[in-house]
Amino acid sequence: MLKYGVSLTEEQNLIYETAKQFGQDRLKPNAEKWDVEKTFPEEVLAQLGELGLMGICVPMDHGGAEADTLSYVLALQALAESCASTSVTVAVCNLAANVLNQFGNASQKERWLDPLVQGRLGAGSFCLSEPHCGSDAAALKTTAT
Amino acid sequence: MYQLSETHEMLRETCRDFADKELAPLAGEFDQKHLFPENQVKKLAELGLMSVAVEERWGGSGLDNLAYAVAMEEISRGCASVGVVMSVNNSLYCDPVSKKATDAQKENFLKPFATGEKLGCFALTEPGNGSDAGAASTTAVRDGDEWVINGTKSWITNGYEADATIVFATTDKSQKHRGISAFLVPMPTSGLSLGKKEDKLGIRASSTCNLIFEDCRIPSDNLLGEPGEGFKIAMMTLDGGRIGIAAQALGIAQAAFEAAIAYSQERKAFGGPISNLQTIQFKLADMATRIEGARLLTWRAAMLKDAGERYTKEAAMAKLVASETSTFVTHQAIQIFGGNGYVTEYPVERHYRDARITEIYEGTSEIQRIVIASNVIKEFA
Repeated sequence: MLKYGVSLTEEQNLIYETAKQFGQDRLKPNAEKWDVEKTFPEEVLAQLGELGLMGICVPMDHGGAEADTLSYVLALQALAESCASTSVTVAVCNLAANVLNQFGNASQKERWLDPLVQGRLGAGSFCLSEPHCGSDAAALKTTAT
Repeated sequence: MYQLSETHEMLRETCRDFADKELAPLAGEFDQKHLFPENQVKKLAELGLMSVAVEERWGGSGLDNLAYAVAMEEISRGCASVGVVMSVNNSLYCDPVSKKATDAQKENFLKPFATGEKLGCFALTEPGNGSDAGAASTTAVRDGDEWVINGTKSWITNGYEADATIVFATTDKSQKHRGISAFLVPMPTSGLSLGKKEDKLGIRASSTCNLIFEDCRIPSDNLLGEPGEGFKIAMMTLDGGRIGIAAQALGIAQAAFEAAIAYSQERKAFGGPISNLQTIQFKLADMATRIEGARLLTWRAAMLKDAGERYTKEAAMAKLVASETSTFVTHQAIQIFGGNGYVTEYPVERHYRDARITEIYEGTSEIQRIVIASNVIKEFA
């Protein structure tokens, strides 16, 4: 159990422990191999989806864990203890899921959010930076007409 | 943890208001003239700040250590010297007395000190030993129903104003640090004299001096805790004291940061306020971020103490980060002020001088690192 001045709720602890256990069982034994071979553990995403870790702050209706932001932080920390690559993949999937959840309409959610969160879609991603603009994000050149 | 409870927030506002009105406007003068802020300390007592976490039945405010940390930061933001006077009475005097004294001792040695009617101090360090506290050479020898104390204690904050001190002395040399005992000594008392007032870089409104014990006799009843328990009492006391010094360091840093950010928006250069310049903005960002981080560590250590958990490592981390943050922030504040930061017309040179001691007293930064390292190594053994 993590010990902080703030006592964690039962749910926060459960999410941390779940992610930590999953990391130790499924990520840690493979982390070095995935790193050397530059492979992406796609099957792991489905398992993470089943645990609700692909959409930690997304409502349960869509397959998320409907938990708070601190839970999200704890889960990423726990996964990263075993495999940093998987942790960033999960972070980006959650990022995409949060955007879809907040700004998507009902049919977009059904088509994109649910399968993403449930680990049936593969990884989500977020495309903002361009070759000529990174920090200056407002200067993007990509157009949609 | 993203916000304080209503009680803590109210206390914070009360202290901030008091510091803005009654401390900050005078802090420069106290510093320049080495004036002990007697009236301000009396007012602190009226606000219940001289023993924040002592039980009400012994004259304290009966609040928790988080409240103490919050109050200490705000008071030190107004005047770091008042902060250290408050810190010594709260952490180094009232806390060990309330934990280790008998009820009879508490009547004389806690109640009037908790109410702020009297002021306490803490005598551990000696000319020949600072960080190596176990090497104390001051002795206490039993003679009938008295203890006879001999030795010199140094760097004693509040020494000139104090009405009593906790003094640590060896009662059994063969036991080394387990042969050190703690005593309650009223001040003034025959056989105890004060050295000269130290002329310090900062916190100049508080007094610091040697306490010189020459056949100083005190009643046998004035032993605090058990014989040989002194070193343990000292270490326990310093754990709690570090939360207070962390909060003091934060208050100094916060004052310097607020002065610097206000100045950066008034001072014009290169066609506008210097806060438009990225070089200044990056300083402000680093200052603000390091203060927030240090504050979280400090509050966390206080909350662990309140919860009755072990907090030695966390208090050391809080003290280390907050004091180094204070040095960093006050240094950067002078950079932002430029030449104006180097003169006494502006407060930041005082903040810079005041910050420096927070890396030294109640355990140097080096000692904090030793404490933290020994704890983390044990955790992972």
